[in-house]
Amino acid sequence: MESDPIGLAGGWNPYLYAEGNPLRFVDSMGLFSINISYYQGVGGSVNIAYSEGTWEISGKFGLGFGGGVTYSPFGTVSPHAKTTEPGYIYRTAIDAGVSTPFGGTSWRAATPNLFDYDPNGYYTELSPPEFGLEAPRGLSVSFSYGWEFGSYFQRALGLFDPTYSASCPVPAR
Amino acid sequence: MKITTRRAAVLTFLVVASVTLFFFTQYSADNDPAGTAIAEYIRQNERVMEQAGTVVNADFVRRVSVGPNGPGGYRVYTFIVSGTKAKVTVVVRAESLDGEQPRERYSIESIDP
Repeated sequence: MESDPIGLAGGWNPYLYAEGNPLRFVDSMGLFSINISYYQGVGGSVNIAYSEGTWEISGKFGLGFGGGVTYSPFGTVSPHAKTTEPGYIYRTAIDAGVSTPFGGTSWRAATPNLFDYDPNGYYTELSPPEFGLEAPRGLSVSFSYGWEFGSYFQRALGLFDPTYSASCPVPAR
Repeated sequence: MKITTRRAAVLTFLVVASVTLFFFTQYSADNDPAGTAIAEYIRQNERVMEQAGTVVNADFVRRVSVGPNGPGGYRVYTFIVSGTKAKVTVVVRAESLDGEQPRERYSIESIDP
């Protein structure tokens, strides 16, 4: 057995991951994000991201051009999403990106999260042009500036993890 | 020539795509000295070697910069690492340390199969 690779973010004892029973539970690893956007002068987008048990769901509205759908197998939650507690997100963000069925690229800049304000909490995120199965892909060209609202919380990816789902307690009626 | 809504939309797409692609082609992981140093750090890291074997290739996937450049801020680099034993996703955190001579400290945040 080895320690949880997410380190102390998963709890103080890195050997207690997967509820202390690595044979029964599976510590769902993995990352992904899905983004749907439409801007024609004004518009909006929805982003769903998952990373190692933490979900982040946000909607953005503002000004921009373009739109489409992008799936990124290595997309991840934003630095504002804590991995140990739920919370809300409100920030201003600029996004630009191009996605094709074969690959794509994206760039984002965001202000600190208003609900957990840290003056140094602004961030930029860059995925350089990449092609292939592991690259972000879809059909999308967009540039936008706007305001983003959302939430993050922790839940294992039981939907795709039958071992975990079978082990989850069923609430009594 | 009359510019229809459809033409305007196509033109907008083309302009946005061109500008965005131009911006991104200006970036190269090889031009980021920290990115190169981190790739080398990954190659020599024991934890990575334990899971992936000898590192054959480290592909840069994403860089997230949080806060200011220098002390107080940090960057997180994601690499897909192909080794002789396995292919893993390695996330490395880079932070600047205060001192007479500015320097950076790297640490492995996660290694996912």
